[in-house]
Amino acid sequence: MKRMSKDRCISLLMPALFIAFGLWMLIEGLQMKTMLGKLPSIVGALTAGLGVIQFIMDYFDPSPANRFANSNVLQVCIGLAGLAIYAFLMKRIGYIIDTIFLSLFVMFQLGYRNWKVAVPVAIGFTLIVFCAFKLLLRVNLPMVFLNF
Amino acid sequence: MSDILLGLQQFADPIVIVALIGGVLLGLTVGALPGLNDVITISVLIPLTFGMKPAVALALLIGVYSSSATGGSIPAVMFEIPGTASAMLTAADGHSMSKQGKTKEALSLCMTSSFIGGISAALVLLFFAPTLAHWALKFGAPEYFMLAVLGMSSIVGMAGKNAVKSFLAMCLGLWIACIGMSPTTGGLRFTFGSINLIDGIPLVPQMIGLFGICSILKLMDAVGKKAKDVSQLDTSIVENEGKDRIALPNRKMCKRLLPTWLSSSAIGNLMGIIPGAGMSMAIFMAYDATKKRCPKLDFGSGVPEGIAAPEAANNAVIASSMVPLMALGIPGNGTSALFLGALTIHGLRAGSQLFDKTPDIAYMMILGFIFANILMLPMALLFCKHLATKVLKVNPKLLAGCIVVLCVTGSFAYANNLFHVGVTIVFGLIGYLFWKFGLPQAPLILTTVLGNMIETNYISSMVYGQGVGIFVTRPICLALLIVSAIFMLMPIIQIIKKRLLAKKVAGEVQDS
Repeated sequence: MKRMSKDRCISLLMPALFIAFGLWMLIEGLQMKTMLGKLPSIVGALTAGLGVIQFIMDYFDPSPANRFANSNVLQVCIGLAGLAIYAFLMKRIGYIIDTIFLSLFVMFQLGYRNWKVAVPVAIGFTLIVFCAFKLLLRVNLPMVFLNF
Repeated sequence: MSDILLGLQQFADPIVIVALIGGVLLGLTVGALPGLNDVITISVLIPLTFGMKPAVALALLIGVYSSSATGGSIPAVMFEIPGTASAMLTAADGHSMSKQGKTKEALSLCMTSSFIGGISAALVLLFFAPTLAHWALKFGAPEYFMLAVLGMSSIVGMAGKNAVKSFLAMCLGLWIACIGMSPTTGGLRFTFGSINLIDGIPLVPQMIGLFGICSILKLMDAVGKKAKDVSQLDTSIVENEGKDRIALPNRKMCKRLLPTWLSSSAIGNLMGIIPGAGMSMAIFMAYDATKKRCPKLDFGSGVPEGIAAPEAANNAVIASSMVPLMALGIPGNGTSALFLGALTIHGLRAGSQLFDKTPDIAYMMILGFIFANILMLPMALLFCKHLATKVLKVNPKLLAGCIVVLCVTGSFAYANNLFHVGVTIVFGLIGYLFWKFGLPQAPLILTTVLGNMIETNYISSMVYGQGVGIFVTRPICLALLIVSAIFMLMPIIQIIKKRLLAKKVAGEVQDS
């Protein structure tokens, strides 16, 4: 069997994931009661089938493109981690502080370094959004120790 | 005619006009805030209107309802984040135009198309409400199922070269629609023991993730190695600063967009009248119909038709969704159900009694939709002129820090649930992976919306009709089936046509 290039491996990852996902959905659907599992079973079988077709198409593609070339995947992962931490901390440190930090984090991640502008913008914009949602539209944003 | 004059008399009170203007302005603002929509705003406003006169209260609510969908297109064009679900397709072509330095032109097109769609529906409401409402009541489970099939058939049209990828995205959307309590049996599916998933995954946090968070992840993806992409936006604005402006489309553009406006408004009106069909289906169908009518245009790359179609359709749904409510007392969607509540609070009854006993209020509401649209156009253009000019001068990196605040707050505000912030982040990742692997997002969103509709109505049809024969024996069903088949076969017919044309050209070249 010929050795697959890194680009081809990456391009095959997506259909492989869909095949696995489709099979899982099919098995889960078949384990459910008749009516309940009907749609998931059909969708699972369809997903797996289409995944196989896409896999074959990508496997025989003469020039697979590396879709992650020139991508800063690490930055994306850090960004996602930052967002997850934000969601985790929201009820612990309150909406305002958490959101100001998130805003600053995103600016920093994208390479903005002028803190004299970034800090007032993050604080100001968060407070404007807070006023719009919490005070005008009565959205119950978590406040913790800044509650009033 | 005398009833219309009675309705018109209500506007002699300046407070009614002020309420309408305030409603339009509020609608534009909340529409522009991701996560907030007309339903949330009207829910908040109804208790506040308790002490107002019925005409003032209704004018305020009509203003909000008429303009919120239009407001939703502002962040869709500027940041690729639809402010409301109805602006999800506007984001594709609108933001592409924005990246070409034509933000103001795209916004102007949004506002004009919204006005045309809105005014067409208001006129339909004025002249045909009772007739159309009775026709819409003929829709049962088999018709709704076929309507959903018709909606799904638009995926075939959207597929283009990536048919398999489109269908894979569609399958993922159908799985997402399966999550939660089954609408038919009440059993739980794919909830993984989480109570937050019992109600399924709502569309708004999904969209904020797929568009808003995804756009920030795309910027992060470009940091360092393709730093040019991050600052691409401001460069293009400088280049087009003189040409790009907020203005009504010129005669040439109007002539070009007229068929799109007419067809999309008609689709929007039709979808609005049918209770439960919804705005999402209307915009997808209008977009697909326009795409089929203009096969030479590269939709998604910033074509005016790609903005005009969904914008005219979504605003046409607004007033036409009031047809079943006002004529029969049956709310056509969530917002018109809130209007039913508002009418009840003020001691009014929806349905034929509204026209018989209180014609002044009935026609005031209808005229309110017309006036709201007339007021909305200049107000929205002014709103965009001042907002767009200022926002577009901000550094994109700084802007991203503000966008993320809107995204997370909007997803939380949707149901005051932190879980939805998590949903937004997950869908941001899904959107990013879709972008990386070249999977289209539109089929995913459409099937998420239509999944439950298909399943529920299919099972109901089977129980009612005891077999698939029901889909061909009912006239509306059969008509919808034929239209769906045409929609599905159209790409194949076009391929055959192209091949035949290519053969003919090759033959002519050989002969010469």
